[in-house]
Amino acid sequence: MSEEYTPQEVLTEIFTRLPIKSLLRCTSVCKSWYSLIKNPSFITTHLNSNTSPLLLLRHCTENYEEDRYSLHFDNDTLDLYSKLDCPFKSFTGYFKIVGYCHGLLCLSDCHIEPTFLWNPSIRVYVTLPKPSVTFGSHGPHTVVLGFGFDSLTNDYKVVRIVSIDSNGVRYSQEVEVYTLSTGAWRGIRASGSSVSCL
Amino acid sequence: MSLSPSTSKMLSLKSSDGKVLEVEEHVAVLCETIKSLVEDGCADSPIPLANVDGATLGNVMEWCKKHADQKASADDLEDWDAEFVERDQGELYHLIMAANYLNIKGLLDLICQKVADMIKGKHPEKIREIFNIENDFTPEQQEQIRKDNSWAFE
Repeated sequence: MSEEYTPQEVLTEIFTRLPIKSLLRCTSVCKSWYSLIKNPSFITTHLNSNTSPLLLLRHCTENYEEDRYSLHFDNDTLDLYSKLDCPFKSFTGYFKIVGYCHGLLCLSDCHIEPTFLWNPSIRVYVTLPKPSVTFGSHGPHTVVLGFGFDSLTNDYKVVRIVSIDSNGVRYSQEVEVYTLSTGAWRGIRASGSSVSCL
Repeated sequence: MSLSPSTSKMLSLKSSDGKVLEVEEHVAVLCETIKSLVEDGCADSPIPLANVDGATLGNVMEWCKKHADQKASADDLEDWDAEFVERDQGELYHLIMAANYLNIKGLLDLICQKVADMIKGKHPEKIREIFNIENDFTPEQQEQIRKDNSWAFE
């Protein structure tokens, strides 16, 4: 394709039709292919192309010992695409799936930290840093997590709402938001009435 | 204006190397670029196509003719397309560039899929060889990319 200049829109058309594994290999072909494939706008195009959507299956064993993940074709027989090595291990047996968005999975080990963001397609994960509200800092509390995509800032966020038991009578709440691009938690003031945690 | 093949108007297309091709209008308008010219009434004189050589233009119009044929069934077209893309890499390159320039979505989709199939499952060295691409990474950069996604290179 390099006899002459190949326009980016043509390369994009070709790359959009490739599975992730082939794309990752293509990043090492030459610099121009690398920058095109790693470009966030191409990643969005590829994500929305839906050429061959895959399903992520989680297998849990009865004795809480193993959490296995695999990718399958979306067909009648759910043919195996590939097995995934879960890059982290749960302390409690199973991870709680906080949310799923654009191929990213947010997993939490129940109320024990840490929380992970995992992209099984490219087998990359991020371990979220320790939030500032913990058992050590605030005593007994209950945690509710939420995960989503902020289309205004083009970023992925995890919301953590903590209800703290104050003298066993009232609950005060602390809300923190983790932003993927900054890799940090920040506290936010919840305005108005308290957020109900289901 | 009638679009039936028997009464269709002829259009003259002039390739980059000066060859003139007479094509029925209902065939040529599968190229969105030509369709716009026809609609704007700018298609009287031979239409100059500065980015498409004569041989490629012939191949493109062969595809358009087949796909403008109302009698061709979907299965028939699929088989015909599969044979059409059995070409060497150079011809595919010129076809993909022409389909992009002339804005023929169906042909662009077809050739892009063919090229994607040629890339699938191959290692970077083989891909560079097929597409005649120079490796402009340093060995260190190359190693780092492989390390970052080692599972994809197994």
